[in-house]
Amino acid sequence: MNRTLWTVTLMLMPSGLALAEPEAAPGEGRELFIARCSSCHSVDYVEMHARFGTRALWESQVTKMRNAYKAPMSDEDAQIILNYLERQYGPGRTDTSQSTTPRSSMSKTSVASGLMVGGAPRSP
Amino acid sequence: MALELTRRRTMLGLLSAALWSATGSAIAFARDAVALLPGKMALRRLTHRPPNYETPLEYFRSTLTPNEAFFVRYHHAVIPSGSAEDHRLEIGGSAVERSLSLSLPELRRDFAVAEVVAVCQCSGNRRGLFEPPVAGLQWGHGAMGNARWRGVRLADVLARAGLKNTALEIAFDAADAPPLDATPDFIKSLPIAKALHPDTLIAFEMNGAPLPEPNGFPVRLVVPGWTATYWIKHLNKITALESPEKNFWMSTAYRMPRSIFPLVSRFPSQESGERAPVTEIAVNSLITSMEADGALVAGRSELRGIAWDSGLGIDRVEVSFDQGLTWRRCELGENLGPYSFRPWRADWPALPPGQYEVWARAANRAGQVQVEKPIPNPSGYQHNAFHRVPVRVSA
Repeated sequence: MNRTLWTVTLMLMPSGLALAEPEAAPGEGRELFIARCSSCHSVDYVEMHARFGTRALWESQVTKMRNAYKAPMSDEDAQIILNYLERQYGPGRTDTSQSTTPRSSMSKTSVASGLMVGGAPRSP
Repeated sequence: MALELTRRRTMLGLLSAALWSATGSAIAFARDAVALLPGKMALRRLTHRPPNYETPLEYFRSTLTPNEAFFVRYHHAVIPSGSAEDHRLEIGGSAVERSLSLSLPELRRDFAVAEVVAVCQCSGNRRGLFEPPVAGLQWGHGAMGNARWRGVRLADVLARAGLKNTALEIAFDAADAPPLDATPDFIKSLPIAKALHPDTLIAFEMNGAPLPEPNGFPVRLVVPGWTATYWIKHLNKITALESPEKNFWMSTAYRMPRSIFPLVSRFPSQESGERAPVTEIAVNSLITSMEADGALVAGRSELRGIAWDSGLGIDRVEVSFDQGLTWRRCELGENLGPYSFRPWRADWPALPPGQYEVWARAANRAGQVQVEKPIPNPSGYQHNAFHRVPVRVSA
């Protein structure tokens, strides 16, 4: 059975720089977030919700990940991850952070216009 | 084999997480929003893993979307490298008389080839434009594309297996998989009527070329008129069922409140409770001739775009320059079949100098028409509000 992982292959390529995934924001709970969430998906799934990342939003998403996708975490883990998400990826955090990693990959304007030419957000 | 696969998957999951950590910490992250996938030009990236990329709007200026620009959508991160030689399509289930195992050459050799031009559009296309925001992939306009699909009819393959008249649904599984075994595998089903429709294909070509890997190489399901959730990529298993498919992706995901989206094309065996499965693509349109800044310049920019629906047929496209008080009918262009993008264009009206907004709306032959505001629904599906674009008129 020759099941090669395309995503892993890409990350191993010398040109993998462009494909390096974004880093999780620093903060309490980061290591647990990486351990419980990053085996299945990159952190940009989280970043794209930061614009409206209220506690209620993160509660619904963590619940969905646990119940529907069977993300392996205890209730205690879930609370730590929830606190981390609320603190690091809440709406108030966008554009105000000192971190080098912007929280949102696309501005609302560029999503709406949909154009690459002139509409693409710049790298930091 | 199952055990080996499980172990392998777990290993891959761990490996990808480890690599993620290593590369993530070692490299200052360049936060470009575009990236290259195998066989693709630069697309707008939503997520790295699983990969989700949308087509930039300028590629919708052609009626057929180039393969290299076609959007990419995955639910799960374990993606096969796609060897056409090894690939087999297994057909089975309690509602067929005999199981089949078909190689790609057998599929091409033993069945009549069929073609259809059809729009493949994610149910959640434009979710990122809902206000208030809705959780889920924050797509703009580009989680869709239009292609000429070539393959064989699903109906012919099912007939070869001896489909019984007790069959209720046909379920489809694929070679991609979740990193964790516990996560529900992505399996979707179709009602018999849709599965047996002559336009429903097992496709191996897209616009005259093999399917790009991220679009389902070597074979994918093509379900014209229905949203992309049913268009299973890397298709490797077809199961004829005598009872409804009940996994998470059918029973919980991709559903909408029945009351607000009356559907023409329904899925009766899955309609239980308040919510019904998303099926047909809502009537929609897009203006595609904007300048680089996203606006139109009257007299200089062209005024054109595309319209599409679930295959009932575009009846008309209209534009308004006065917030919908009056509408002007547009000219429809080439017709590549009922499931295709239909191009349209209009001449500029005489407008006094100033700033305007042009609205575009399409209506189909069944009388369905786009809405002024998207209809709110829990998962942010079927956004088909008028497309609005700023217009500048110079003195």
